[in-house]
Amino acid sequence: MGDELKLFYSSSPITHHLFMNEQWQQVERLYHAARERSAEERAAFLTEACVGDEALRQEVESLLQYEDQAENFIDSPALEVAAKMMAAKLSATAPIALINQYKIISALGAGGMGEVFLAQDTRLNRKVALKFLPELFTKDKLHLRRFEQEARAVAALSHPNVCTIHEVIETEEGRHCIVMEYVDGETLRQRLLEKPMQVAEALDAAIQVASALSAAHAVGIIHRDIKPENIMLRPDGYLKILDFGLAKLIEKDSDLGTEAETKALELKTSPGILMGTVAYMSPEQARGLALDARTDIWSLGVVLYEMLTGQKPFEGQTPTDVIISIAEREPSPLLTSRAPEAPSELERIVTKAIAKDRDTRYQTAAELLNDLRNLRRELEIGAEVQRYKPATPESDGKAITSVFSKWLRRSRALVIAALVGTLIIAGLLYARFWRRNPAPAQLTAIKSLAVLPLRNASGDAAQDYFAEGMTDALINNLAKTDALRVMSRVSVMRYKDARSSPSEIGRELKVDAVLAGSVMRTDDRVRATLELIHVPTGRNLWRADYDRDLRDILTLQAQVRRDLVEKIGLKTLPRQEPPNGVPLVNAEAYDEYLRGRFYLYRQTRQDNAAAIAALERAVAKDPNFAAAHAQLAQAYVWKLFLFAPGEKQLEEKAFVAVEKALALDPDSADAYLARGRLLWTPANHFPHDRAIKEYRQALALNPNLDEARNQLALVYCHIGAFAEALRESQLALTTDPNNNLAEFRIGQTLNFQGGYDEALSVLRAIPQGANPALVGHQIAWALFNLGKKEEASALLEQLLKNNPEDAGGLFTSIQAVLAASAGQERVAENKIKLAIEKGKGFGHFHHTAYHIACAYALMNKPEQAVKWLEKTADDGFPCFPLFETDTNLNNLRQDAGFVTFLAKQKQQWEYYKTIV
Amino acid sequence: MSQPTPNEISQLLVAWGGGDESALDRLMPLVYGELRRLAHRYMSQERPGHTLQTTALVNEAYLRLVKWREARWQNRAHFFAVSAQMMRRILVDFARDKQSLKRGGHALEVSLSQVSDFTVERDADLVALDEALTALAEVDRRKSKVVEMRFFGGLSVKEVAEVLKVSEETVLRDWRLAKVWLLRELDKSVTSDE
Repeated sequence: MGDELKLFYSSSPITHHLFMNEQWQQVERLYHAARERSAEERAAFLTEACVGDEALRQEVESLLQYEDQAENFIDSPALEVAAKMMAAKLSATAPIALINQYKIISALGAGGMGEVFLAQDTRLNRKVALKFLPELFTKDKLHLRRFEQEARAVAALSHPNVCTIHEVIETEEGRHCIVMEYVDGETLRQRLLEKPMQVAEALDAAIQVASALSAAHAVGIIHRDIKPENIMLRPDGYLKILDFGLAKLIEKDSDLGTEAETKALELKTSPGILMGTVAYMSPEQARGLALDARTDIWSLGVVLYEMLTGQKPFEGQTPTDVIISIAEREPSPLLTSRAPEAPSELERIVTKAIAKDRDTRYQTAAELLNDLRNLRRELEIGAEVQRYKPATPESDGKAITSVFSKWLRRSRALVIAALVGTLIIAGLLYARFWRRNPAPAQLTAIKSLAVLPLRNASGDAAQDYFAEGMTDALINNLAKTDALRVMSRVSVMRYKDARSSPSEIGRELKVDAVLAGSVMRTDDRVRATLELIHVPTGRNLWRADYDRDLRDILTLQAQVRRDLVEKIGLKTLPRQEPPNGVPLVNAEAYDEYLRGRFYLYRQTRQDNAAAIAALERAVAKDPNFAAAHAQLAQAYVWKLFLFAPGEKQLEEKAFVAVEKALALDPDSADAYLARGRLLWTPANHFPHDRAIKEYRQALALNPNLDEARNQLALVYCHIGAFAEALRESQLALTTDPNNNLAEFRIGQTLNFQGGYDEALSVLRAIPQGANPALVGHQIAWALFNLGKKEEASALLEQLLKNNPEDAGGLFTSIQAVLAASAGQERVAENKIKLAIEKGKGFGHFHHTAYHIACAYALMNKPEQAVKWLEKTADDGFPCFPLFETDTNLNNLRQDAGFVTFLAKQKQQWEYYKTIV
Repeated sequence: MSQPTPNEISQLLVAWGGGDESALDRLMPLVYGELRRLAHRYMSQERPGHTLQTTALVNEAYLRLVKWREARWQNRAHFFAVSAQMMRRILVDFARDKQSLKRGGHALEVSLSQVSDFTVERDADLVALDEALTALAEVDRRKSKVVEMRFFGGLSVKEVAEVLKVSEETVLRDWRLAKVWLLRELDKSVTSDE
């Protein structure tokens, strides 16, 4: 191969370029052409195409050899590859796995002050963080001891915002290591890099830091190194300050020189951290003066400034420049230009905290804390008042709280009086605190929610079903409102073992808030802890503990719902609360019910059987348990659909379960969904109108039930209500962004509308694992219609190879269309025969029938084509707009039989239009 | 000095695109920060196989690094191109450092068998890939750009098409051919090394 390549890549510079370019274009063309051919055809194709140019042939062949390897090559982005390299390196360089009772689990990160590892304390059975101090900082025994003393003093504080130091140990090699509380979260630095902070969030963080500083200063401890890297934010909204007292190790009187020098040294030892730390030094620290507690106040002021503006007040090109800026320059016009939405009071606070002369600064952290707290209180009152303002075009109607709507019901006069009053207060507060739009008012604008999988707090894996079942029940319960988009069960269960924080998951799911927590069952009691986290700010909006008798579990769920509705300020659907109160449940039956739901979603034959068994036991123990009947119906439906098609007895049992569920609870969305699925089958000749009615009813009761939306879109697509099918699919995607079925339906509908290009990109974006046969046949159809017949043909061959049974003859029938369009009549007829053969006994045959009609139309055989079109429509696919516009039927347009057929279809379609 | 803001990132990229090499030193810590963040995520994964999440994390990291939406770039396409070049430079430098460290024998032996989820893949050799990519640029500049933007820059097919002003179909075809070409090139260098 080497010699031939030289032909391509050597010769004099100019001619080389021209020559190569031309040759290369040829290589490119042939490579792609060869790729479109099957492996067997390639050799022959290339030999023919490259007659007289052996070098060209070998060049293309040598590239084609790498076809298989290329499949996954460089498919993960480089950043991921590099990160994995780094991870491998970090894992490999982890120190000895066991130190005293601490077992190292993984590396957490590296800072200027040493490598940090996550470890398990095997004695106390808890997670801890181990920080290995650089020897540079521990060689001075006096300082080390002083640091240890201070660490003990800080530990004695046990302040909630201070990361506790458990102990300082020395390894056999003489390395020193701080054992401290493990804080699961992100640093303020990471948070600041993500996106700007809201005023409320920044204020909340500053208050927590000030509170910790105030406690520490009270016992004479100074932090000396407050900076975003040393502040951890936990997902639950708690903040923890790290490395308290650590600065003691690098005090000025050590032989290392000034702190500034030490820090510069520290920076040199760990590039990548890059001087971040100098920016938070106080002027007295930068000058190397003796420090008191007021240095921490300065640093907090700088951090607060950065949280509000996204920028540091003192910057420069080098550490020295920064230090000069700190010592001499006034920061650029502060919040007025950089954070216009911040209240002026906040600006005053920040300015006072970073006064260069420490005597004019806040003198104590307590003083600063006090001002911050007062401001927060006033802002919250301001925000409350904002919410009571009547809806204006800009303000969101949903922000009106339920309290307000209760007033509204009670008395109009009272409301008017209240409004006048609140408006006056609002005006006053607004004028005082806000220059522009207040941010905290957005805190309550929650229109979408994800219930994250509840943790199984029992630690007993056998109770997983209970935690999962409760999660599911909460989703189901909360979803029953059209005022709130609640992410579907499938979309949240992906995060069951996720390590991301609730806010991160919330951002990924694009919701305003997440509900997270844990649940545990002990004998006959159930305990749950729940919290509502506001995703944009990470703030904890609400937290509650519940402890109830298991029989009272429905009341518990209703209570959670009521509490949340209250908190979020939602309008609820009127039928929500049952007239006779929430019924007690039979504890054993409920347990079986949760077990049943747990297995129901797993959808293997075995799990389906387990689900049916559990749900049958549930209804046996409590025959009045409506939800269990509804779920049992669903379980039967899945069995019918997946494992036992056409089993008459099972179908009857399913219908009975639906009826029982609806008799006990006429508002069971699941029962309507099950009935829709039971009705819309080949055996029933696909009764579209009845199925639509059932799914619509299910959605009226639970607007977030995306399974019902998928089904509704399916029916709409079949009757040619394309716009409606697209709409329902889009809606289904809002509650589960990875709803592959909805994506597929969009692709299919676009195909039926003739938007093949768009269909192709939608269908190709569906992950490969998701029903490749189903997705593949639509891709093939799009390719064929785009004129990419060879690609379509290759894809069909591959599909047939992977699914030789070709259920319903779907693939074979598209092959018939391809052959017909190529004028290969004999092949087409054979494929049609084969497709019919394969479709025998297969109910959902109407798509195959339609392809056969298309094949006959393309062969210009109108009589057969119309016969197959009639079969298509009669068998459940009366898709008039498709028949009217599909160019594959163009040969029929003048045919009398077709004209009559189309007119009849149009009439039918007019009827469907009245019901969608 | 400190961590640049999104706005500064875009200015730094402009400066670097205009030939100011020192701008890269300021960008580097950012990329390293994201690398470290991702690396720790991989390490703390208790179970392998969370591929969906991993992809999301990587995408997020790219987004944070190149927030073109926040940067008021007059020429979005140009921005994409420059940011991909930056990622290539920094990541390849990173990989090169790691290699020289290994060759110098100072670092501890990396025992990959201990790290269950990290398999040594062909594409792990970023340095060799970078060289092969430079060779590809000689033959077909556009294809090397496609790889640079997709693999190093994390851009989508659509974005690459926008930068190069060609159809997405063309980008995909370029991508395909570039991959086999690079694989062949890498094979050549392996054989010639030995």
